[in-house]
Amino acid sequence: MYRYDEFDEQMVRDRVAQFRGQVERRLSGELDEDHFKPLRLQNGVYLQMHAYMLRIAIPYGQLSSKQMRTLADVGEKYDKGYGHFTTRQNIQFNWIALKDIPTVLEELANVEMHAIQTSGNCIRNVTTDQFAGATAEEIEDPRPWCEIIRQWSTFHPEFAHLPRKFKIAVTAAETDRAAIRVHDIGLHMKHNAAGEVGFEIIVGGGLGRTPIVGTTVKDWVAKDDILDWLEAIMRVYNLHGRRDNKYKARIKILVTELTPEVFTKQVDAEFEAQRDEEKVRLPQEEVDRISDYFKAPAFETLPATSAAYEEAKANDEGFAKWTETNLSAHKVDGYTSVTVSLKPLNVAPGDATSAQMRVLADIAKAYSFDDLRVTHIQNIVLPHIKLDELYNVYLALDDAGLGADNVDLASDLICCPGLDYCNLANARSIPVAMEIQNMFSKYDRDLGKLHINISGCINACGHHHVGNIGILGVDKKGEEFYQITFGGRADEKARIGDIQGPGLRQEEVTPALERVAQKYLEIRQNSDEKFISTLERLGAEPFKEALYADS
Amino acid sequence: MPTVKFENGKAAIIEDAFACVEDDQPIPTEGAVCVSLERFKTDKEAILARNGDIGVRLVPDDDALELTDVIDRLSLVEVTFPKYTDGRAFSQAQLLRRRLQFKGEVRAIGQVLRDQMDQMARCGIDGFVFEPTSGEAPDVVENAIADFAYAYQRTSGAQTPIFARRHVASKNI
Ligand code: HEM
Ligand code: SF4
Repeated sequence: MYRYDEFDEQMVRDRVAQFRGQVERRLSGELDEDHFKPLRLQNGVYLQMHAYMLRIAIPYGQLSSKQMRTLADVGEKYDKGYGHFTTRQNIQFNWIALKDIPTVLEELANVEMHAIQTSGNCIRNVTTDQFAGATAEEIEDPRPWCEIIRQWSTFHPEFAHLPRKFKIAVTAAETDRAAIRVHDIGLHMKHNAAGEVGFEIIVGGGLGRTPIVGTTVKDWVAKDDILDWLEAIMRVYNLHGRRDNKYKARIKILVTELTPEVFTKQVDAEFEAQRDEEKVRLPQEEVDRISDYFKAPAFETLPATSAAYEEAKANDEGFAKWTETNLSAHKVDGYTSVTVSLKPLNVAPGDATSAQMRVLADIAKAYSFDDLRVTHIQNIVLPHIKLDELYNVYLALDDAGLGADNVDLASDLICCPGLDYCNLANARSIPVAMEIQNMFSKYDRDLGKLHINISGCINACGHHHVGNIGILGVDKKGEEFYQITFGGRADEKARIGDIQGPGLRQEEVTPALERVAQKYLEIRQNSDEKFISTLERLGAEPFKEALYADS
Repeated sequence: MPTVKFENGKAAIIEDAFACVEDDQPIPTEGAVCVSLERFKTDKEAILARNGDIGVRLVPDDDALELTDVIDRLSLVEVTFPKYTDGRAFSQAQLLRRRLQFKGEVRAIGQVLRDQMDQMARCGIDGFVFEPTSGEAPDVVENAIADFAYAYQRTSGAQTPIFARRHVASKNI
């Protein structure tokens, strides 16, 4: 894991001091809310329905146990004893007093954490595959490049006031777990014909009110050039992105309005025009220095199977069921990656209590090389667990209420805060999520992999467009309605779901989805055919019929 | 409003020597003038032929690269922040400094706020026209620019980027 040196440390300290000054000027009245807003927004401080919300950056979703423990402390001391892990692999605290925020930031700085660029119209926290460094699927570990991009984008003075926020995601695997095609820039690490590793650059994906899957503007660029390409793309966007209408300000609109071909030409021209002195010229020593932090930990040489593990499975049915859903293959024999589901029943999806965070920290310290990851599905990953020790890990998790065995199943849904917290919401999303989870928990194993995503309004924080089933809260004459989409996906076959028809009332949503699920069980070829595959094979019609069968 | 020049780590109020000539006004025969890019393009020959320093005022829609062939004749380029949220002037300043290697003054006008002065300076802006909300204008500029000791990027400011500081001995820097 990356560790700060004196420079990184100083940057964060300077930022805390700067923000403390800004808060003082706000509290003294020298700054009014209008002028304070863009300043606090650049530091992750939102004004929500009930209080200020603080969003803390978790660069590329990776945390040490010490950092997780600090988050637990913040939740306890300054919030109501819990935090909310987000689809951006960050964490949010919903009930923080403005006057406490500089102190919270200082405590975070002590463990190399911050809230820099977690909001505002700047380059946001870069995200990646939660199994980076653990999966055999990647061609190399993408995290060194995530860290390089983090440093390059931190306080980049030219791109601090873009037309709109800007999100970059990176993956080095063919299976895309980072949703790179629905980001402003998606970077896909891959080989060129000569076998060198470089980047495919995808630009202009995004959700919100105009959901679009990004386009490849460069098939392959060399690592040495990637920052210069990013500078070129950012400059074209900064100069030409629309600023007249915030709903048309994301780079996806610029790419669409210019056409991807013309946009690509402009980026090419900007890149070609860069003089030698303008190039970033990151020294190879620096790439090596950063890469060193991400060297594989000291894995043991172990057999691929574990007698202890097999025995525990035979003796504990709950454990055996959990292993069916919550494990992912590890690149090293005898290890596995565990996904801890933050979607038990009757809890807001993505929430964890301070006590749970401490349990996760302890487990990571004892069993997972001090390494934790946050996923964009709002779960937590323990990337490197020995099969021999898996049962202990499971027991500790289960004891803390973290034993939900539903990863990638229907009840493992993504859900935004909705009307319960968010002042932009049209409808509640958490209660709907809970109802759906309760209904599906009875048979979500039969249903297999099924992604349900819920947003409380068109801003799409809950990624509803890319859910296999998407649910969007809309407001019709003061009443909450829910619009259903089918067929979305966020992976390497990214696709925006299709709206099926008129919105449903809250009480109609769960029964309607239950009919859809029953229809799927009835018409799938066999139990290996996923919901999304049946849908893609047969089209939406049978499911749509089931959805509206009651009306 | 005072104009503050930031040079060699020090800020000072300067006398604005440039007469700002609106597009419908005649250009005086003598003295330093500052005109819009539009006006400059229309009366280019006449402006270049006169005696006196030349300044050009850019608005965010302007293409700074239109100044490429005359850049050495200019003493001042003003870049405009119509609202502090409009960040196009940052890119214009970078283009002036880094692409065109402009050596004169790049002056920020419009909504020039304390909390953006560091970013402005790092993009190569060295003149600031603003009314301080408290304190003396030069102190405001100096304090704002002192907020951060280091920078990660190689931009237009004088700072050595962090990655280069880390590897002082490298040939590649
Ligand atoms: C109350 C707090 C929140 C507010 C006011 C808010 C506001 C917004 C707005 C206005 C957008 C649309 C931006 C655009 O289209 O340009 C947006 C997008 C987004 N938000 Fe939130 N949000 C909030 C909470 C959250 C939470 C808790 C999450 C994570 C669970 C989240 C994740 C996202 C994501 C991933 C997008 C991006 C969609 C895209 O790619 O366009 N937001 N949010
Ligand atoms: S999708 Fe809408 S309701 Fe949900 S958090 Fe985002 S802005 Fe709020």
